[in-house]
Amino acid sequence: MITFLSGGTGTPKLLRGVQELLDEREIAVIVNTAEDTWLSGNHLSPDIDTVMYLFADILDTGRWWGIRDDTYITHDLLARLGIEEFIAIGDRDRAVHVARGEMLRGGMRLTEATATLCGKLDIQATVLPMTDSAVTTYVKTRRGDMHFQEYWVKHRGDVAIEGVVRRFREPPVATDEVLCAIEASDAVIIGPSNPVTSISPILECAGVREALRRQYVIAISPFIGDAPVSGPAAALMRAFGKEPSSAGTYSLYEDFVDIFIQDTRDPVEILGALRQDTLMVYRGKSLDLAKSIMTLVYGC
Amino acid sequence: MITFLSGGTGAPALIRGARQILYDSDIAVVANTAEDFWVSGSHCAPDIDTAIFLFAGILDTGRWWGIKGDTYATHNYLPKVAGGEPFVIGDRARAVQIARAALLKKGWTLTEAVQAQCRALSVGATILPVSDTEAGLLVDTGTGRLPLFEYWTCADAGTEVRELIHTAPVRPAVTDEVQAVIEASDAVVIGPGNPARSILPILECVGMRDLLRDRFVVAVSPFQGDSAPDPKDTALMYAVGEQPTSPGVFRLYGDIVDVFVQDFHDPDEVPGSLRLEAHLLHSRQAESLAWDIMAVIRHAVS
Repeated sequence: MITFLSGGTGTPKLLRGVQELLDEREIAVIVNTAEDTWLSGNHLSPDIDTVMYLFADILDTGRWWGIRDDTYITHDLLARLGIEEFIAIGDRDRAVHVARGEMLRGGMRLTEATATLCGKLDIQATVLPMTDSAVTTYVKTRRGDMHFQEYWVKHRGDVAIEGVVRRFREPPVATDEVLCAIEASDAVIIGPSNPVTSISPILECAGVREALRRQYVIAISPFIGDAPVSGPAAALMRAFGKEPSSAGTYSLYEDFVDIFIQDTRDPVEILGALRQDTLMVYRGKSLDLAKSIMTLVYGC
Repeated sequence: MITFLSGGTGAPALIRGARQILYDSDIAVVANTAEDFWVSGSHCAPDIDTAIFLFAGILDTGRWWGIKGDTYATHNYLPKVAGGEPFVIGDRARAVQIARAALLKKGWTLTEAVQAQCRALSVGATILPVSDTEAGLLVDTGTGRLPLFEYWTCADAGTEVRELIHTAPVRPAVTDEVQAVIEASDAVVIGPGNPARSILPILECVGMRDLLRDRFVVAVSPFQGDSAPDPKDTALMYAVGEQPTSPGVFRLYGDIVDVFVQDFHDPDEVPGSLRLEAHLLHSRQAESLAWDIMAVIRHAVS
């Protein structure tokens, strides 16, 4: 089995390739939940949804979120009724949020709710939220703290940020399922997801870093030079006190990473790093990178 | 101004008839809230929604609830990812429920939330929930408790109804808005809704019967004696200790009624009642009944 740490775009693109090489039952994905929020009475978990939809083969891979060919009847009428949802929730997507909301209201753990949804969607891979307790990424702006989804989706990242904070009632702890998955794996892969908002929340869950130090870990940098392949990583890295580059990324992972992969075009030099084409612009590129990584894990 | 007490399907049918005669701006609807409950994270208020949709011109008048031409993408997808919902909610109807829930969570009163929705959907009539506090009813079926609306829409016809139980610890009270609109009305019409399900919860609100005693009140019986009523209508009437007949309805309404309307063909005699065609099978009958009621009101209050 191989375990992936995933956010919402970079790692799922890699998973798209891995999916074709491994039996899905051999894949476990530990997913960031620090962008979760209750919206319109129900539970939005953007990164879990993207990973689930990918394995259920219903993901809109144009945007890397939401369900392909979804409709937006409720969302559109809500706007007319004066309720602006900051993200366009499709009608089927909403059904998933409703289902999860009901399960959580009924006292289920997020891990159980996710497993139930995966079962219903006939997903063979193991999809695990990093923790069962609520932890949320906020960015500090001059107008006050802002939920990361609001910053990125509503304001398109067009707000100056001064810091990144995680808010929680009790410090997040990795679930037993997460720690077992890491331990039972042949390797752990950290995909090219945003180090600040996607991967760090997972690493901050108590128990994860220690488990990773005992494991064989491969990490892929999401940066080429000082620009991330996608998303708002650069500004966030600076706000996080790190250089927005592969070097900054490496410094977040260096205590446990065994192999660090950078893009072949990346001008930043990191000693001992492996160079690969990490721009997964289409399916074939995802497959190529996945093949290289599988070779690193299993040889030949 | 004419105020209608409304719930279920009979009362909205009569209101649709009245819309042919009165301006929307001269109509007020005080809606039953006993069937309200939270479902799938949003606020379901069937009688309020029916009134809003009717005046917005989007009511599905085949079923007397929901929005005409609505789609069911979320509802149909739910069984795929979870257990599904107890009853059918359209995508547009869900938006109305979510929007109301969002306003309530912001701390708005139900009255304010409904008024905002009426403005957004260009509703000309005044639509008011009878009360702002929780007034939900649960049906005790002997084996469990179901929200009233869930019982009505999903339970088997033979389900036992032992008792109707209030979820709220205190009796709800009529709002200031309801009081003002009734005081400003020439008459109040109690539509032909099932009393146990739709009308009594309105009458039981603190202050309502006193308000109605000072008004000219016309009540229409929903029962026709010889034509067998729906088994659930029957069960609910027995649960409040009455027969599903016009005399039973009359006894439940008591001294607030000035004119009691029964159908021509109703074999159960209520002394002093006015006999009209009260069988609202199609819109012409509703319009005709509304016309007759307006004539009675004009005669009585002028």
